[in-house]
Amino acid sequence: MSYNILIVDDSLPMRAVIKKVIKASGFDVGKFYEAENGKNALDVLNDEWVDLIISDYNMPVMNGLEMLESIKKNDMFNSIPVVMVTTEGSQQRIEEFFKSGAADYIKKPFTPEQIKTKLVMIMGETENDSEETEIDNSDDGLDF
Amino acid sequence: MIAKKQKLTTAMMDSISNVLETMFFLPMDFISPESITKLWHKSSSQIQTVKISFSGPFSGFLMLLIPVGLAENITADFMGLDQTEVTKDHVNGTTKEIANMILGNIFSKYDDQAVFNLEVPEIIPDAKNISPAPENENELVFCVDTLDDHLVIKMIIDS
Repeated sequence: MSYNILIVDDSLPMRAVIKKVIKASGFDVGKFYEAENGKNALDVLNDEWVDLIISDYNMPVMNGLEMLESIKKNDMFNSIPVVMVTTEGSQQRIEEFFKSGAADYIKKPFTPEQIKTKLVMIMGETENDSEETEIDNSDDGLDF
Repeated sequence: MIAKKQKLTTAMMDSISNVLETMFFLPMDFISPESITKLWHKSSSQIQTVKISFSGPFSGFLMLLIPVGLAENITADFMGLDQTEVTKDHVNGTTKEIANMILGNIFSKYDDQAVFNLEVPEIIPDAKNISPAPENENELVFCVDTLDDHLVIKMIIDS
């Protein structure tokens, strides 16, 4: 089964790198969607089918936590798992993510293996399924 | 104040090497700010400067100063692009991300129970007059030697 993933980050390079890392991890992706802040992400959700959201925390206009809270209040979207990506590792912030309904969080800097492990865990694939696909960095220019 | 500065120094050094090595795959060494000062002012390269303000148990800002050529190299490697494909937006995004990751990591290593609020990173137009050396006791400065060039990370504490 393939999954449509929405990547929310105000940094264009970071969105590109997250996409490449997910591709390199062998996770089965249908379509990638991108948004540069929480507000744009909500617009994407209104127009497209999304299975998983990976969102930065610190963004202008609407940050990741505000977006997460809006999603969880909306009956149409509140079952979509949201993974928060953050540089901030304070326990209080992480608790805020979970309290607001985040499925998990990823701390930057991250490795492709960490991303894959989280996605597999959240989307419910078995470890055996995921082990069939080795990390592939042949086509993306990344040194992972 | 001395204990806080020592703890911050350790957190900054750990974070800088963790981010540059793990996320950007950069071989790096710390060098003294004094040894870089002459090189810095002689360099013909434009300097890209990113600033992020923060508040919390104490407030201030972090600055990343990086020669544009080095920033372009790092951006190309990070995004898996040929250097000719790298745009100003790519460079701005990558350098903001470096500064953001370093600052976030510093605070989680400094005190993971404390909450610091980080503002959105901003690009400061060519700031070549900013000295890489510390200008007063409220500044912590680290100079990094990487890819035959140098970058500087400064934290200025207001209160």
